Amino acid sequence: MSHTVILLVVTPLMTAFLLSMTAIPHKVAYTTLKRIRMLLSVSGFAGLCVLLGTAGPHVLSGEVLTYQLGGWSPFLGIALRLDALSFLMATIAVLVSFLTMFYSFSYMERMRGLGKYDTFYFLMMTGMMGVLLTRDFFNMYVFLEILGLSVYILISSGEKKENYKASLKYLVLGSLASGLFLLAVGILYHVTGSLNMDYAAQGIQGIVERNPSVAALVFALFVVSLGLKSGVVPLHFWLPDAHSMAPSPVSALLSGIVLKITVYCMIRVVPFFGPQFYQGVSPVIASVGAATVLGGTLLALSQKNIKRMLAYSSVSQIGIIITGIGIGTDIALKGALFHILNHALMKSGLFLCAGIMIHQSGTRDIPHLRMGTPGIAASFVVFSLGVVGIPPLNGFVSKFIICYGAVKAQYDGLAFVILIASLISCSYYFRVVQTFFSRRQGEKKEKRRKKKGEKKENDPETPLQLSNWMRIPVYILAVLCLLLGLFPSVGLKAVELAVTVGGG
Amino acid sequence: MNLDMLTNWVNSITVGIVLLLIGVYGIMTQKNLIKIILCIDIIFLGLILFFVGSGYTEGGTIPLLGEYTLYVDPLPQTLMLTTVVVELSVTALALALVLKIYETSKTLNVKELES
Repeated sequence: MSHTVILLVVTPLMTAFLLSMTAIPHKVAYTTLKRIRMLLSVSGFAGLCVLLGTAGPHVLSGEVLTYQLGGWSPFLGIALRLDALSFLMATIAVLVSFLTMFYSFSYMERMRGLGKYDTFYFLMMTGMMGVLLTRDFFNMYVFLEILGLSVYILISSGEKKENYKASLKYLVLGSLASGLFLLAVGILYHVTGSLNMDYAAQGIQGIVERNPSVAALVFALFVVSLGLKSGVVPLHFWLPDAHSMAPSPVSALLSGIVLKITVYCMIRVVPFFGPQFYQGVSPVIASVGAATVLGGTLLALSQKNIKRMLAYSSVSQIGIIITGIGIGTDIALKGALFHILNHALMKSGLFLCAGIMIHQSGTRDIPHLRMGTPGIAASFVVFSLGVVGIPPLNGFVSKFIICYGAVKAQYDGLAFVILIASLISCSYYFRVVQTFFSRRQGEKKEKRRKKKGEKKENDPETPLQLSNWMRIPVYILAVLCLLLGLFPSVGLKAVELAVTVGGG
Repeated sequence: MNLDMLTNWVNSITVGIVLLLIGVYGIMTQKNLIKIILCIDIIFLGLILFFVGSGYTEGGTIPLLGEYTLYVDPLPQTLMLTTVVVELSVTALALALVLKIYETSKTLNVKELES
């Protein structure tokens, strides 16, 4: 029990190490190696699930599990902490990446270097778990870099020109963001003398009172660097490229959880400066969130490529979460955290569906998309209704709570912005849904092509056999969305606990 | 007098910050991919200088327990060892990606890559 917290970081790291040894280009043992890789990946995730399961009852009863690395006191060494907030985020991350892993068994099979893909998949899990658990700012930077590096490699695993370009663009901006983060950590250490969040939080109180400009500088550096990584509107320009050019399962992970990790850092960092400071900056963060909501929605409206559209939609949904954090009341924070959970399920589902649809139709243009199978189309409809926020689905509940929190905190304009954005998002999601019902256009083009004797469009993602590996994760995500919408109290209970920990 | 003021200002903290800003400026203006990656390195060089400088104590010596009373803060230096390692891997990956981009596109110019 005492080592559960550190094992959450070590398990994926060890799995990554073992997986890296199976990445041998050996033709004879190809199927054996593939089986070993599958077994290792599944057992790695099973281990994570077991660890979360053993820690779950303790955390949900309000206990906070801490771990001192190497037995050093938290002032000198690195402390890890698993509380309700990090437990919630870790559960989301493990759940979504577990399902996406099954999808990528089948999806990534045609791509070379599957062993590499699995290795960096687990390194990414290591980075995420580390960021979620650590109580040390410098350690957070290191884990953010581990997460970043493995994500850059995962994006480039499609091995096409576009993948490399998107990956490098993300790398340059990600490094710039971590540079700013490191500068903030440096100034923070300089003025407070500690890197541990609890000790530095005590030190920063005095700084906020005596020298508010330094506190504001540190805060601004944190928010700009984390905003750059989570695609807040003036800094969102890299996001659509990275998220749309990556292979579909990687896009699902990027939009579904990697963005949420930086938002989680923001939830940790913003209240860190004390309640008074929080109240002072709350209108700024809330208006940045509102700008992100509007900007993302309007840009998504003009997209023709389905994955770019989904990426811009992610920008606007992140904006809704940031608005919730900015308002800062318990209700709004509850809505924001619940929206993190919901958006992780919905957007990863949407990207997985989009991957299947792109394969089936051989194009990314929305008017020429085909629905794949009726089951996939139905799941796509469920996810898009969820993102738009139609009542029986989970997206409605969290958006409603955020809007309710906004109105209660006298931010009526923000609630209005979120509602308008939902209305606009209707139009761009239903444009995709509409193509499922109008087959004629696609058939016409097919006929014309046959007449001219042209080949099918040479899209990088060519059709592939649709296997159950790919279908079932999508269905599970869709069912989870429906269940969370019908019985939101289950999710809300966990979220409420997390708010009491994270808000303070 | 003027020189004194200058030497007061020119320490590794200010130099580090200036290097960081030069790097950020470079990322925004440079067109060559290799130069952009060098700018990332300059940013982190600046940060390393900043950290090491922030741990400096006037007249301090090496941090050994028991022997000296006034010593420099060892923590920023150890942190910077980690940053150097992280930065090395970021640069290596970035250069590998640049190599792949050059193989597929035959250019390193950002403007040409965009079109």
